[in-house]
Amino acid sequence: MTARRDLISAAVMLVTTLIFFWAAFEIEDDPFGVGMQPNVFPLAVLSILTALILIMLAGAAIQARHEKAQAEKSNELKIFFLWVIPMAAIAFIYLGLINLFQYLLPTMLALSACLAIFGNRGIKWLVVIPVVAAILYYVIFFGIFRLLEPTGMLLEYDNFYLFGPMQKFLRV
Amino acid sequence: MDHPIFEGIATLFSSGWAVFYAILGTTIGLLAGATPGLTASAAISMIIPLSFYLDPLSALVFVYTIGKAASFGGSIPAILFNTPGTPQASATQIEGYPLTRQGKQGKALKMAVTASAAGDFFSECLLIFGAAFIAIYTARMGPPEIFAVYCTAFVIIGSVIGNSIIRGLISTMLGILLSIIGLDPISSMPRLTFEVNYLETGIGLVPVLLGVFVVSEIFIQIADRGALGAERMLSKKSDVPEDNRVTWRDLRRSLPVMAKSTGMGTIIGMLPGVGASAACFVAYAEAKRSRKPEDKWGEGEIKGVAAAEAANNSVSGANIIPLLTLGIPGSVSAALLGGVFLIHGMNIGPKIFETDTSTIYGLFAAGLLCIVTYFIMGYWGSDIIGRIIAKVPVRVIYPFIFITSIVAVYALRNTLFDVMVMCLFGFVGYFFKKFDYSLPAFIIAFILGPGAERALRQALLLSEDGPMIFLERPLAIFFILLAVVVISVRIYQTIKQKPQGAPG
Repeated sequence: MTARRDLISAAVMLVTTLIFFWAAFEIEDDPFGVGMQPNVFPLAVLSILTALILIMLAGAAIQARHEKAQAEKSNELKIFFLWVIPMAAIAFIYLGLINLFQYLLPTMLALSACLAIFGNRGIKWLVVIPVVAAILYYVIFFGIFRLLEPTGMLLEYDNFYLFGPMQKFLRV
Repeated sequence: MDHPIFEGIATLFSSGWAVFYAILGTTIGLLAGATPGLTASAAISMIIPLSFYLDPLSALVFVYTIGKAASFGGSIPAILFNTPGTPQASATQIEGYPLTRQGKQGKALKMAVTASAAGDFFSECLLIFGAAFIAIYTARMGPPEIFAVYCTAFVIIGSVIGNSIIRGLISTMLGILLSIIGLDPISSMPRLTFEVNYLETGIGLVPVLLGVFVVSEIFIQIADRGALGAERMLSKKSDVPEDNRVTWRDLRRSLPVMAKSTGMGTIIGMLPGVGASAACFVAYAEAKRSRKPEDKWGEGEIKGVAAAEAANNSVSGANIIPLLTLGIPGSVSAALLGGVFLIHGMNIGPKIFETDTSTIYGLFAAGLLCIVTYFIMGYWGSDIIGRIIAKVPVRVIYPFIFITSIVAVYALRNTLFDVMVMCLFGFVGYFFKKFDYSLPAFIIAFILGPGAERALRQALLLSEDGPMIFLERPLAIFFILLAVVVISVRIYQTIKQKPQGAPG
């Protein structure tokens, strides 16, 4: 762990803490309350947190002066935007699609996309397995565990006729 | 014969589902532990949404057995592939993998499961016969003492877990801060909600758990492109029968080490936050220190496998003791179990032995069943588990885990907001790991935060002299001094180890 990384993380933490400080000062007092007011505990926690961050910041700054400037050819940021962000984006697109087409079809697509991002290729991994797995998920979550399937805005279907007899048989 | 454990055994076996979930949990725990990168915490986090649909005993049993079995499961890839499945299996790898290279993986795995089961059994017995006894004393503690215990736990968790004191303490304070978002428990005034209505009920435990343990791990794995296609090769087994089983000679040589390591693991397990990773290395180091001339440390010493495994599994029962007697979890797995107690409306603390006797002892009985189950599975099936792990690459497991997490978190309240929170905490977990902050400290503090605030407010309501109440109670003073001593020792150790000017 280099001092530079400590400096960056401490600075981000400090900004976050300041935002929370602002929110903590906005907490209203309870006019009829006895004992501690609602904002005391958050302010106490924030004060300790800020003190710790400042200690870390100071330590990192001192160390950074002794540390030789290293040409860190880090490609972490590139990896983050190239792989991590798309992975998170799949989650949101997937949920958006669930609201449009209900569960089954979006799950097949999302699984296929995730498998592709993780480097899987070919019909077996990108088509067959997502389809089979999505059907299995569908039966387990909505058939056996009886989760409520959201209504699709573009494609709407009722799974009662699919799972009703099975649920009766399994007594779930 | 009137010990409540018999009532617990009866409760467990009168519910077919609880027995089923104990065995299922053990199997999942073994597989999760044996899968490098998939920790027990991640597996439990994925199971917690499911626990909403189960009766309290089945839910608790399910989560508890996953944590217990995963602790042994981690040793399977450590021995077979030189890759620990869980952090606490790192010490097992040191002596276990050289044995595999000699074709003695059967011996190593069988010794690992024998030592694990022995250590775990001792620890579970201590939990069964000792926890209620300790609870009698802790039940007498009032809010000032409880708040002092919370403070000590925060200091220990923050300063002992992880590599850096300062980053550990920051992680702890962040956990507390995020746990108090929502309506004030007394006045119902919104606090730190940024005028977002969804935040008024607080940040849900399940999205946070799934985010920091599961999604962050997926982000780490996707960023680590090189490891995705890595294939694991099974080494060839020796044809000599003695190399594939634990002989009496092996057992006789390892018994003293196992006993000592079990004792160490149990004591370490009872300390909040220290955990199995520390226990296994302490026990391994001690076993190596008391070496004999014929020992082959570093080249595949079977006593090393026994020491590490006995220690890391003896933590799993012992770290439930502080959870049930003080309401403070000894590890992340215990914290997650605490979360399940809360989900099912059971208040953790010493009173639980009076209010939910049959459930608590039913849980302990499930712990015993889990030990027997994983011993049988591990003794005769570790090879098969190893072969399964070798065949399923990481690049296939994680997409399924990701999709399951999304559905699991969405199913809780049918809102997109929880998925957003999960992804946000996935990023938080990712950065915590990248910048070496402590996720266990963060999550334990997140779970304990509201309890600490409640204890503080109750203590101040009782007091006529404000905060001076903490200095009027001897037990509260003891715990505060303990916190000061712990942090002073850690700072001293850090200053001694690190070059001048290094932060944390």
